[in-house]
Amino acid sequence: MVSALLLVILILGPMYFLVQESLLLPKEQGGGWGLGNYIKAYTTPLYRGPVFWTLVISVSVSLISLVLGSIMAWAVARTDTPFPGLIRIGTLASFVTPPFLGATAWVFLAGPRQGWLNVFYRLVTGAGEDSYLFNIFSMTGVIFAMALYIYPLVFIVVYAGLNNISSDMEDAANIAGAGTLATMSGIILPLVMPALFAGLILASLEAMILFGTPAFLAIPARQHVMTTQIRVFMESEEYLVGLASAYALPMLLAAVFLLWLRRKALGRRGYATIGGKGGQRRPQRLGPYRWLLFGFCIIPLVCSIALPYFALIAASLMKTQGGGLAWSNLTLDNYRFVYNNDAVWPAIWNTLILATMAATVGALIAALIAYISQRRLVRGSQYLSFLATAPLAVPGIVLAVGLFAAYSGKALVLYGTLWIIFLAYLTKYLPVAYQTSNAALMSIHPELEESSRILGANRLIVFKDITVPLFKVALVASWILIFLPSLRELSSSVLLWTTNTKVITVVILHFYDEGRLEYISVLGVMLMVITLIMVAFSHRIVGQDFMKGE
Amino acid sequence: MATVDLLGLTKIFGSDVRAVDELDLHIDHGELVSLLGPSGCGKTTTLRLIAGFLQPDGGEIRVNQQLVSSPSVLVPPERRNMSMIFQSYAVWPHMTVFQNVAYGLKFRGVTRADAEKKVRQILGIVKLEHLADRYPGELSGGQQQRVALARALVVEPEILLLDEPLSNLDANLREEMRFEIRRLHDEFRITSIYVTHDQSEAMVVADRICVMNQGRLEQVGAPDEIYERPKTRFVAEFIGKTNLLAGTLEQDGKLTIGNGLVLLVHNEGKFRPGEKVWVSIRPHHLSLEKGEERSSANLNRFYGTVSRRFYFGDAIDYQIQVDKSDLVLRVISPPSQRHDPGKRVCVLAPPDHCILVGEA
Repeated sequence: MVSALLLVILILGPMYFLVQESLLLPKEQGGGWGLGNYIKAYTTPLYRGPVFWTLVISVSVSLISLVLGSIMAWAVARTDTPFPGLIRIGTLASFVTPPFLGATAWVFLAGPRQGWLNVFYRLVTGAGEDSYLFNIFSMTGVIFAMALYIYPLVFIVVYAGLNNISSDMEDAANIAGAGTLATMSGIILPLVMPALFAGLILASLEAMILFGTPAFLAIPARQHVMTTQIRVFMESEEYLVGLASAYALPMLLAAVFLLWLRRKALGRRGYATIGGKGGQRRPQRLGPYRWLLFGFCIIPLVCSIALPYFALIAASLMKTQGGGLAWSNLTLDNYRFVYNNDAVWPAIWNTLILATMAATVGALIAALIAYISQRRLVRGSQYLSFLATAPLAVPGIVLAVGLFAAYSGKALVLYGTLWIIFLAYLTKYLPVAYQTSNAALMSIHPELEESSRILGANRLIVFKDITVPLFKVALVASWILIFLPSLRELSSSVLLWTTNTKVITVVILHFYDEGRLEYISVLGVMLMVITLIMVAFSHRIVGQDFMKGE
Repeated sequence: MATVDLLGLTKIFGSDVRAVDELDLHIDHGELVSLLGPSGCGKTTTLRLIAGFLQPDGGEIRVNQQLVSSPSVLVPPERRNMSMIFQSYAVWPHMTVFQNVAYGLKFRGVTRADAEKKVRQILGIVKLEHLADRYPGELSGGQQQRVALARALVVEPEILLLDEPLSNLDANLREEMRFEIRRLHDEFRITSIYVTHDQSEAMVVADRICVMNQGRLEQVGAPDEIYERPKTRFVAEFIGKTNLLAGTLEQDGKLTIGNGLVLLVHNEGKFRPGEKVWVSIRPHHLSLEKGEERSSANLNRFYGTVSRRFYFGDAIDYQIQVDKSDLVLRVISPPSQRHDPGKRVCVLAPPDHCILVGEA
């Protein structure tokens, strides 16, 4: 009951008010209900641009990601391409890098004037002051910087898909007379098709709802996308929540539709993951081409990891961006400044409180819902699990508009407090925690609990002796899975912060608006150090997994 | 030790699936009874009803004449003084072998020193002393099975329930563990109920076998009785291989099968002359004779041709096409005598092993 109520507060409430606000006309138009907001949002030329560019970005980013992600996944999973571990770890590293940090790094690297790559280009070619090789402040730049951090989604899905196809399948095709190429196109490709499709969809969804990269790179190019336009609506003097909602709701519907498509694609599971058991996989020999493929795989890693992290670390230690990597240009002043900044410490403090609270409450709720729905302890428990996974389809910025609409100026005023941001984080990351808990519970066979009961333990003792200890690892894992992304949550926070409730990403955004990129790099380096420590920590916990015998 | 009585026990799933249907069974002190049947026959449901994990929709369960389960009464599993061995072993992966086995003792007020002694002793019996401090993840399937056995036995339960305990083991280990379970039963004499779908397992392990089908008991009896004297067609077919022939019972007690084939049969008087009935003849009760020569009496003789032959080392499995009919008989005979495919043979069916198993 409590958890059902909570899910209503978290999901149904905001979504209800989102719809309401989008249909509520502003006072100057006479108030009342109508489709005025939608008409205005999608016919005004000024507001149409963002919609168009969001579509362009979503399509191009997902296609680039599909090419990069699937080829790299194939190289690692099924060929003898050298250093597969490096490619995999590198891809996972891009996956955990906040895209706005990548965007910041690429401003250092490819800003038209001061970007190091462009400076280097002018130096080599002797071109004039105004010429550049690559301008990151452009829609091409946005697409580039997004694809770098979105392709891992495709990689992960396709890699899993390829791993589930045993080499026996290829052998069977070969025996039947198919050559390598025929096997690839006739057997492997169809088998991995659902995964490719799912990856494409995830990538386009992510590109549609990303806020940080366009905020950092598209706005200087004088162009908004839908997410940044929503922020403009929300922060405008005229209080255009209606327009923001009219923008947000179709995004939500698009997200729901895309996830439905993906589910359909992966739905025929037996087909997608056939022969996963026992089948061994032999890498395909590529001969000299393996180095060619390796070269192809290393480019995204250089662009998403090596160059950006180098740029961030270097920039955080430099006096001036133009001064180069000379001893005389190195300083810790940036760190000192950030350390002494009045805005930074409260924001760090807020962020830590929020992340800790969201992680603790979220992990517990997720575990509870998973337990209730799997052991069918109450009627209608399947709706609980549906609600717990529903936020997957709610983009962060849409969620923020909904929360704002629901909890400001209504019966329950949370806007202006940390609570509303807490709700945003909790909602946004509940599905991941729920899925983790659910999977872990599924591996705890009910007989493990029953065998304890028959030996004399009552329900409570069984829970304490058996269920909780077996579940501990998943609980810690889902805690970390909420805590880590909460540290760097941007797209919801950016709409929900107030003077007293700034979080670290909002401070980063403000530094960006002030053009103090070196401070961002300081905060970015700190963020990544914390992330690395947590990842290593969680790796150790999961590494100690005693359930390997199951 | 304890007795168990199932009286009209019924469990209904959904609106009308009668998983267990009016079951009546008495299990004696120290007896090992096997519930045997195909999957979905209700045997596991019966076991879980006895354990108290399920509540019956009709009838009752009594242990030592005390009511423990009925539609209105349900003593919880933890207060039944039973042990159970599960199909998945259900050995707790976060406890060592020792902790697993000792677990049940803490609910029985056993002192720490006593518990230690008991656990060591039982681990010795199941030959696991040297693995006491290991975690289950480090054990083989057979060893985990032994942990489950030790854990169930150490609490000295009144009743031991076993739910397909060997079905996750490989063939060799399964055979070994059958004897092991029987040995432990002979040693401890705990009233036991053993659920399995494997008839040879039930034969080796059980004092009595209860063959179940569609929630009902088909036949209850000692293994040899079930095997040699099946009462129903289902039992005859489910337990071992058999030849099933349809025929009509004559006034003189003989059975005519058609095409002039007549059988003397074993009839306990259940069937009346004129009835169409099934007769079951086990393949290894049939024997083969060479040749064409027709002896005067054609009773219990089938003439035919060897159509197929499978060599099994310790036996030969023949398929005999009976003359002038579409009847194919399966005969298993010792390898000392050989009949080649295509050769003419005579199949002899001893009357005592031609069992009537129901109306056709």
